[in-house]
Amino acid sequence: MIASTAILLIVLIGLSLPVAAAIWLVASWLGAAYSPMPLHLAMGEILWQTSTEFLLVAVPLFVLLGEIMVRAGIATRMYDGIAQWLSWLPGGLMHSNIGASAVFAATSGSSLATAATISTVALPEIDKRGYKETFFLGSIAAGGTLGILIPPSINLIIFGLITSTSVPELYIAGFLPGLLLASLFIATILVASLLFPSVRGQPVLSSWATRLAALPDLLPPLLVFSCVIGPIYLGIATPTEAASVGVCASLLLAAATRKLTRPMLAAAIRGTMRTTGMIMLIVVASQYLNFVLGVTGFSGALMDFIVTLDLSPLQTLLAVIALYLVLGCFMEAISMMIITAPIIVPIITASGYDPVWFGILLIVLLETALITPPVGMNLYVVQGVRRRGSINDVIIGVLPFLVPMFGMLALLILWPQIALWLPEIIYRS
Amino acid sequence: MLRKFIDTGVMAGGYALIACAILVTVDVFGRKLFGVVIPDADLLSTYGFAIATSWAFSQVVLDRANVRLDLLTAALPRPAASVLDLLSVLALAAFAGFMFERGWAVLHESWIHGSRSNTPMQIPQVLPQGLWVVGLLVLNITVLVVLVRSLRQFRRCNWQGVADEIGIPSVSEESANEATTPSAPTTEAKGGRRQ
Repeated sequence: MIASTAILLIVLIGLSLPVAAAIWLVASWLGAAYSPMPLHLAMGEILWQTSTEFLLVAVPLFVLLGEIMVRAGIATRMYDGIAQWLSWLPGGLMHSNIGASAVFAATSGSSLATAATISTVALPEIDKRGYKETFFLGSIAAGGTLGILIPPSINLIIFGLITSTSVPELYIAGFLPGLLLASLFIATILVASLLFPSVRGQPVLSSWATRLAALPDLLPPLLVFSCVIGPIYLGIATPTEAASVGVCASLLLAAATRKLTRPMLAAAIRGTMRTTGMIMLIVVASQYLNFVLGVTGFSGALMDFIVTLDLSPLQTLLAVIALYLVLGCFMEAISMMIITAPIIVPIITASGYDPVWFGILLIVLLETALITPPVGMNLYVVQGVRRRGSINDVIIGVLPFLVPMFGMLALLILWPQIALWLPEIIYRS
Repeated sequence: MLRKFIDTGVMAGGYALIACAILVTVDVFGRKLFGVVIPDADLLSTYGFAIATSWAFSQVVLDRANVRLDLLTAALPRPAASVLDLLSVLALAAFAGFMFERGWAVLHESWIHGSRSNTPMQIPQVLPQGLWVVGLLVLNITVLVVLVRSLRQFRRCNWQGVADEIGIPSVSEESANEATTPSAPTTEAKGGRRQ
């Protein structure tokens, strides 16, 4: 049952069927083959329940928030502001790529949106300032992945929903690892620039006067971030309520800079609805699969199988990480998480690991998936905005950034407190 | 015409979501600062979300924004890849048909029992569920239209035509969706292409 289900899923997805339809077909087959009851009758209720899940309302709202921030030009001005502060380091604007990604990630829940945003602003600088193109492209693709780690994160909302883990705890847990990973990226650029001066590029001229003058451009993202994350951390608003406040704040900001026009809003809505529909189609299919997995005894059978393997907790964890690293090369990140998390998380928690901690570890694995070829969406996004040369340039450029990512995974395993310290002092004391 | 119709629905859904966001924000501040509660703000926003999402599915189909793995289609010659593209639309049509049929059953139940929300406003369930099911119906129509169009291209052996209808978007097409710069509203240009 376990093998045939896995093979069927791999074959259907491999045949390039839409992931949502593949999940639904597997669920239907599993239900018909292993349950005497007509399980498909439950789909209507599952469909309506999932579609009206209050937590999921946060998904389109956070996407919309990011869209408005970009289209109002707030992200562009933010990049220039951060360049004033970070680009004196050897490696110049590549540090701004990381810094701006981190700050933008704090207002956006998507890695693709983050990578696309920074790409459009930063790519023209490659020729202007003589950067080594591959490495510069890599810094954007890698920095962009911070979008799903630093809250608000759409992936963490969906992880919370499908594994019944607290989203506020996940959000607060992602904060320190996000900053740490951004610092590791910056350290990587620093080391590379010191070892190979050819990648450095010309520095941006900045002075304390220009730095201070750039500060107001950093205020809007900070304001939105505090509107969104503050109430969640303080426990006075749910993620969806906080996302609503964030959308209102971004609308006011856009209106204040006279960028709030009907065409702008229409474009933001189209982008939002496309992303939301794409994710929700997979989510509803997988909620049905989860139901079938539970009723047919699949989850139990898998657990029994894992027990017979007699692995130590660390071996189990390493096997799971290896699985994600391999899957991540071939699967799109969010669908990979939606399909696997309901099956993997019970195994991990049964091994004694904390689900919040694993949620953060999983996000770092998804970030790795976003930049590992052949299917790494961030690579495609950066290449798509670049519109010249070959995708191989981005792939080569991003390879050095896998080192800090693996380092981050190791740090999380060695010191789980990096993720758990903040949630413990805020929610669990 | 279909795209224009769906776009209108998607726009209405989007503005409804923004309205929900404003409603929920007013509710949050009202509750914390003045102790005033807007009845059913949360519930209304979930209805708005469900309806907007069911309409957004059609846009996903038209924009070919479904998540699909392109390892095989990229490696195969175009005619063989077209067969896989057709297969994937058929699978999508089956899934859409199933969702509509089950959604309809939920609506039917609520109609017979006269179900209302268990909240202060006692909203009749058939209202949000009706609009939601219409979204699913539009999804089915969209998938069928796309299927017929691509079958027509397939019969003419116009492989590029099949790819334009239902293929996995290439890198440059994909970026048109992701690059959300204020100066280049590429999504609109893309949207206008088939109107």
